[in-house]
Amino acid sequence: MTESFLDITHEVCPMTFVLVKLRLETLSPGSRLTIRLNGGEPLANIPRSVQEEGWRVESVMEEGPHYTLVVVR
Amino acid sequence: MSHCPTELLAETKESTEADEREWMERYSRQIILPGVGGRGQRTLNQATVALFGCGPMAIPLALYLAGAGVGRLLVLASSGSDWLCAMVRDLNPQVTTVALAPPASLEEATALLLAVQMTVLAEGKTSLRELLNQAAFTVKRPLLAGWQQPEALLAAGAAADSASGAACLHCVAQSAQQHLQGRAAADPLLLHVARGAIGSLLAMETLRSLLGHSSALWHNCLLLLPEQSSYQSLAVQKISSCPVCASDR
Repeated sequence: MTESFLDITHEVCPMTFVLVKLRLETLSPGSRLTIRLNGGEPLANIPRSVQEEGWRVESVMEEGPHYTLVVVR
Repeated sequence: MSHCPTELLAETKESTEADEREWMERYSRQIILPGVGGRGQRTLNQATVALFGCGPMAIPLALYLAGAGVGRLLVLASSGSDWLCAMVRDLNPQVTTVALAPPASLEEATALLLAVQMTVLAEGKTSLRELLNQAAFTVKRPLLAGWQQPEALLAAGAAADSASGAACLHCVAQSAQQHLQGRAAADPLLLHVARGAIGSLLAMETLRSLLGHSSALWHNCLLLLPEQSSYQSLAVQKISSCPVCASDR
């Protein structure tokens, strides 16, 4: 299983999801992507959007001031 | 102005990290759409579209295609194409525009259609539509067209992968003419204004086609009746005596 990481804590909508979507497009089935994101709008929208793209949300965890979202294709 | 765009289609440019960021920001609202994504956006950026016309139908068509990021727009008109190219570049400097004279022969028309992903005729003389239809049928390339009749505005298309038996644009135009027979002419002012709606529709169908989606216009005709502010979809049958496609059965 390929593991990769993406930090979108310095981005705002819609670039948060643009970066996630572009990265997801490069990953093959079975890959896992860990995304560091802010609370608020990114936390509310990114998990829902990746699920709409056909990815499974494995976990969402609070880590200090940010959150870590793990998605699997 | 040259007829042959082939030499203009080969240029490539190395992209930097800053270019990539600019690309993402410019097209962010499209990239996030389910039917587009990064791959679809790059497909649009690499596409070349031949656009015939520079009037009220061609202007929204050109601007929508430029805004969507179609990489190269060849604007073919006997006059006014430089002005439309400048307007396109103002909207999106990343789009390459080329002003060309319309093809004068079947040979020139087929060479053009083979050099581009999509050809769109936004008005023009019937003879030009017939020439492009013949060329599209000969080399099996997609062609979208919008035009005006006294009673209505029309939009139709002929697909690249035409199944045998599918109507060409000549059949479409004949069917539409028969359908509109006896109908009173529309108010010229309404027809003039409604040309922009057909241009926008052609832009939508061009983008859908470039992205690999099917178009409702393939081998069909959409009539815009401005007096009623309504659209009618006209299913078109191939004409058995069609001089263009009758042999393709």
